[in-house]
Amino acid sequence: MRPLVEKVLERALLGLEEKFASMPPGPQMGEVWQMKMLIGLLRRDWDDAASLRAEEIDRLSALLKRGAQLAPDELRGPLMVAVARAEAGRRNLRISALEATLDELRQAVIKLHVWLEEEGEADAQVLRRDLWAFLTEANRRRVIDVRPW
Amino acid sequence: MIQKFIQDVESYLSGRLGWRQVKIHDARQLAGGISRATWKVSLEMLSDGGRKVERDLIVRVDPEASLLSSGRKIECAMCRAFAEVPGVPVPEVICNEDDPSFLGAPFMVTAALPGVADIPAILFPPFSAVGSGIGRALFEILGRVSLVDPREKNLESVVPTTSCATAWSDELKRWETTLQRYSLGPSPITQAAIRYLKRNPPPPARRVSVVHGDYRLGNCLYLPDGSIAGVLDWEMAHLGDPLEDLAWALMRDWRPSAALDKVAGHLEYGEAVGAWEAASGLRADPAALKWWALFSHVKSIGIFTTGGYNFLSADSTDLTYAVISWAALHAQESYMIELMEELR
Repeated sequence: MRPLVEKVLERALLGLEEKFASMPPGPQMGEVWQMKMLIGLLRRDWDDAASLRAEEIDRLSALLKRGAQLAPDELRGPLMVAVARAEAGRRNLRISALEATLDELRQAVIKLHVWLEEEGEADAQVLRRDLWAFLTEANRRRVIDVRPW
Repeated sequence: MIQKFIQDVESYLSGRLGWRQVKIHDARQLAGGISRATWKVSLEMLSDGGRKVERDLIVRVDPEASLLSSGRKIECAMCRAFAEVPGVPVPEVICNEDDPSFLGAPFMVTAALPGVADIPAILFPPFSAVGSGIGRALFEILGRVSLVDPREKNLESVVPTTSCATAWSDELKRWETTLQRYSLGPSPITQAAIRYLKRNPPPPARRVSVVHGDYRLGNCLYLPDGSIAGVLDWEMAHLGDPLEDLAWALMRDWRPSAALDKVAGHLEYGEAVGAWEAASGLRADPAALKWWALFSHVKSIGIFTTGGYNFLSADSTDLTYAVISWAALHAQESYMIELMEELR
């Protein structure tokens, strides 16, 4: 039994919030706000940082595979390369490795998205909507209200 | 460190500007001033007539990393250009110093103005009683900014020119280029927003005017009587479509948490737009305003990305840029998603 990291971060955040609430305006207030924001993000993301990224890699890969079935030859290649690299790196669960894989998939998603926006076929439009729904959901998971006022 | 800063400022004002018997009795770093360290300096000096006078100055020193590259020259030129414009209060520029040897970095000095720029403060007494007036004044001043002819003020020699037809594309290109140059990784949502903006351009600008570039609740100084003592932070000013500033000022980002449904903490959206229209003599086309609203979030992403990039590349230990860019990028993209869904 040991203190869980989330609990420690939660208490740290509570302490900073109390400090922030009682501070006079000045540069130190900004510094405490930054630390509060930083610890708040770490606490929120700590536990599921790897699983969330792994899940996103799977879902993006599936969307890109669907795209590859519809896309012309010159686009299919880059999409499948990104998917193959993601599959090859599946066992590396370091956040930095998962982020690098996600960035590669996102780059491929941008290419696919450009093509889908120009493509009038029904299948392509369904995939465009599914892709946008995924991007919206991924954004909602990460968004945090950053206003310090 | 403060003592050294005080000595250096005294030496500069005496040696470089020829001020007599300068004695600084207070120097405080102010909150805010994300792009530069901002100090308020109170001093005593001898006037030309030989009398002792008190002066309050603002000294803004360039940082090691910034959300944007320094726009001191632009800021000084704009403050000087608007100094004589009725109804657009700006700080008096005292100097703009490029030489880093005096304070360790380039800096500018302006006269300090009275008032508060603290966003939550305007929700509480004494400001809450005049909150609607503050909100209207904010948008009326912005309308008056758009009335100034940049050519008359010789501002075309300070910032790039544009035209009514290309104001939108020039600005969009600028921020797209910024995002490419300072990339923090591929972003499908931002890229989709940029493509949307290109496919659905706004109507041509009604006029080319000075665009403050960061006109918002936190960049003005408020007095308890509801008036605005000064418009600050002109470093991002450029020429363009006045709707760009209006859309930026209306963004949800600047609304206090305690009044998220109100523009500037006190106004309905329509009231703010109406105040701007009355002062500018222009109609804010709703579709064009939505285009500029979406653009504003692309621009925000550009600013935050630049800050994050500079934080990484400058070995900075100042977390401001890292935390803001880390946290704010997703919020901006969530606003983009909402707007693009409304616009479809």
